[in-house]
Amino acid sequence: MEFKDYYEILGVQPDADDKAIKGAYRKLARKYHPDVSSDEDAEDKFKAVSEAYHVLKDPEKRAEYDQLRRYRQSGGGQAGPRDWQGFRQEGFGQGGGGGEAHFDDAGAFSDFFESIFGGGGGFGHRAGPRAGRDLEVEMPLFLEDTVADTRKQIRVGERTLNVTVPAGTGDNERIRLKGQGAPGADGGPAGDLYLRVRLVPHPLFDVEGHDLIVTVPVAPWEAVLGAKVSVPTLTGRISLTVPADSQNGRRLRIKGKGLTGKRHTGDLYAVLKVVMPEHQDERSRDLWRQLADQADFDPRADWEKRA
Amino acid sequence: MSRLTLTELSRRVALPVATVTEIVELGIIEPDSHDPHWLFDETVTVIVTRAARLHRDLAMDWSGVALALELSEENRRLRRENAALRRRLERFLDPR
Repeated sequence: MEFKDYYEILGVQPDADDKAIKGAYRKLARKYHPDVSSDEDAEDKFKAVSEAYHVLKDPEKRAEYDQLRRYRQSGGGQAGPRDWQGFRQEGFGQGGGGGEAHFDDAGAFSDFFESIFGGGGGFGHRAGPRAGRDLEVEMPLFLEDTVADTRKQIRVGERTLNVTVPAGTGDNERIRLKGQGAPGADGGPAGDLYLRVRLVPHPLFDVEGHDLIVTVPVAPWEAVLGAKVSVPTLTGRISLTVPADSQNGRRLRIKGKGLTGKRHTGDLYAVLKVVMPEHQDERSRDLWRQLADQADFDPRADWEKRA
Repeated sequence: MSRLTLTELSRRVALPVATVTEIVELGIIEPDSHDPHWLFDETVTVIVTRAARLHRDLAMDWSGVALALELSEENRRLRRENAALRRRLERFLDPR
């Protein structure tokens, strides 16, 4: 078991007063609160910070912890029969927190904490039947899976759940699985599990609301002369007409080939991207040269007038 | 999907009715229907639970919680939008 330096966790000196400790905690709690932080380890960091504060704000616990910390620093913390783990006998053997401990569940503190202060020191312990918490987890969903009802398996903790994702489920939507949240306490009902849908970035399609965008490379001559181009959609390929004299970046709408929505179906937009050949042979270079000689076009005619 | 009355919602999230009322009045959650009483989509319980955690863990008042939730949701949306726009830009700049 690792010794936890609560002062270091809060970033305060060992002689910090209550005000400094509270201030440091408030700041770090805001930074790492899992409900607002985008930090990947937010939950773990928040737990650590909460635990440190829980001990240091309480004069009795702090005194006990300080004693242990001093003892360890004086060399007692080295491996041996008088290891700090044996420093305090009571509280030993209390099982660590449950496998799915969440930061606001009782028993969410570390084994280190439990070994000093014993179990049951979590964030509040209420008696009587208590409903389990509702949980929310993110569920990645491929764009292809939104076209029709799709069966998916999702792992939550140690469980694997089967979910039917209805056609037209969009990004950010929540799917509720009744009774699959945290178990209740003392006979209380289990909470619900909410799956928050996250559309997985697609190698070809970008999403804009219900619309999809596909970037279609075209040759300069296709943009000028027009062309028929085969374009992928979520449900198969279609033939797209590129009109003559198309600019780079032109958006062409393909109606009804976007994402299926509960109320309406989006469109697919093909965005033309004019691409130059990577290598030109001498004959094509010659043709470009002829074009350069004859074309009456200055792409920078209006450019600097905008400044 | 069934709807919850104010009392049912309060019981589900283990908060007093007055607190849930304040949460609604601050716009943290919105009732689906007002007529004749408030009715809530069940998915709001997750939001209320999150709000209650912030209120407790960060010692914030409820209007602070409302602001924090609004800003963090906005932040999340902007991050995703930024990532999406970056992907589109890269697609466009990639010569293939």
